[in-house]
Amino acid sequence: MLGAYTTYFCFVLFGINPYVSLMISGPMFFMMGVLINMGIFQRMIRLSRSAEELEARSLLICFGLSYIIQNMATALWTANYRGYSAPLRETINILGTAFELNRILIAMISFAINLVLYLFLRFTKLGLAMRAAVDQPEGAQLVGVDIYRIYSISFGLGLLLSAWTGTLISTIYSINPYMGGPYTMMALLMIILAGIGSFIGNIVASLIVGFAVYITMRLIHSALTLVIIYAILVIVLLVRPRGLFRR
Amino acid sequence: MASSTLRADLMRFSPLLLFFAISTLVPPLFGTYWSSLILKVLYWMTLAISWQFFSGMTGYISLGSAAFFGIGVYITAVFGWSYPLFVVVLTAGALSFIFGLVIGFVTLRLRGMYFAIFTFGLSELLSNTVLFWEMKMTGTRGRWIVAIDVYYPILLVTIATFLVILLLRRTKMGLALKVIGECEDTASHVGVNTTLFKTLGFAVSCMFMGFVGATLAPRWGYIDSGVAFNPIYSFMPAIMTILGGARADYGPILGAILLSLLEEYLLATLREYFMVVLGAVLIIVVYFLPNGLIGVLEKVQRARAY
Repeated sequence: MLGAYTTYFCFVLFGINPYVSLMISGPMFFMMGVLINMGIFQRMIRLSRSAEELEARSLLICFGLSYIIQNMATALWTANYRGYSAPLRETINILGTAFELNRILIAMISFAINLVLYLFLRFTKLGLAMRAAVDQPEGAQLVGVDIYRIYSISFGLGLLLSAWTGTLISTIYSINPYMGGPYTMMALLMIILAGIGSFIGNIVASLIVGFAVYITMRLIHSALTLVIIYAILVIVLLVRPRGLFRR
Repeated sequence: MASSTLRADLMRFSPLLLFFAISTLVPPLFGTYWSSLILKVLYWMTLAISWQFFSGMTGYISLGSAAFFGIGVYITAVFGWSYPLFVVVLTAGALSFIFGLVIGFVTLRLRGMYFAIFTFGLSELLSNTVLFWEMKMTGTRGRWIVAIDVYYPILLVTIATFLVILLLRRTKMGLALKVIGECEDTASHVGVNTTLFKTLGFAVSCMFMGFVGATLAPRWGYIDSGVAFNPIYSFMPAIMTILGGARADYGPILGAILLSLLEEYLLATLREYFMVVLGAVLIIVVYFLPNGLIGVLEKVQRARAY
């Protein structure tokens, strides 16, 4: 939501192209993530007795943060829907179907982000350290990984990506302070569908959910998308209690 | 606590029992404003006590209370016209119990995080399903509810919930939930069937939420799926319990009283900022007071004892 608003104000006040504002919101939200992590979560990581306790408390803190941010945004910017005329609204024909150019661009940007992220996690030293900090926090510390720094960077990256998603969404849909709700829910459900901590799992889960949602909307009714997602989730969790990709 | 007698338990709660006794006199003596305020305290307290019985005790955080509350609301909306309220309320509780069993069966073998996220979407799931049903089958949105004064029914539900949960805490299930909260591995090692007790405990807590929803429903007069399944009913009981002290039996009671009064005050003065304050309370409590206000009180008492 904040990412979307950043883009909106960049565009409305300064006329900055939404895709250019990615370069502004990126560093901004990365820093914000690092600061929030250092300010709030590091102490909690130290205080929590178990991973479960930490997860539960982090989840609650995040909901608290989102309450504060959403309602401050409402107070500042009102709850009205806003929109701007994003560039590239022209349509082109691909195999007889009309596509808006900006939707194609968004799809390409998303794909590129995921690809870069995958390569980063797979082939760089920092990426390796991140995966290690998730899988084996103690082991990672033993071999000299500063896991607190890694957590900060990961949290910063997480915020950066959500802000970017907000920007991309704002080029297609109108925005308001509560726009993040459905995306938060979908993201969380996809995480447990994939299994917490699996990157490839998340890609697969989001493809499954994405297609399921659109097929349901097209063939049945948009109110039933969550029913379909929950049905998939129930089946998966009964067969694989820790998600699709978690051993 | 398990070793204390029922009598001692009731003695400990004598301030609360006194509060219940005074509550019976509020509508005739103090008029509508005070009775609506007390009503608010009572239903939030009931939801918080039910939430604490499972989620507070075990640490499996449920964010799905609104789903079970909403089932209650809708049962009253649909059947309240043709059947007496207590039949409707019991049906709603039974349905919430069964739905809780199913959800518990699917998710409670998993880690806490999976459970929290899974339950988080439930109210939205039911809300959308009901919406779909209404649009397809009846072509309407929302429905009128039979008008009944709910003050005494809610008071009755609150007292019943409090007493039943007080008794349940003394049973094998209550003890099992407590041990699971302290260390689940130990619990299963000493032969506690953790999945069974977690599922049952969750279903019981859902049942009480169904009772509250069904009893409270006539207050609105008219409801739709957005009112019935409002996520605030998921978050408030959790925040109240955590504020009071998640593992203490007085926790939800204290938290519910404080936050209902705060809500009343803020909604009258700074309406827009109530949710901001709620978020801040949540962060501060989780961050600084992991044992809630009861934890603070106990610390002060212990410091005095030395």
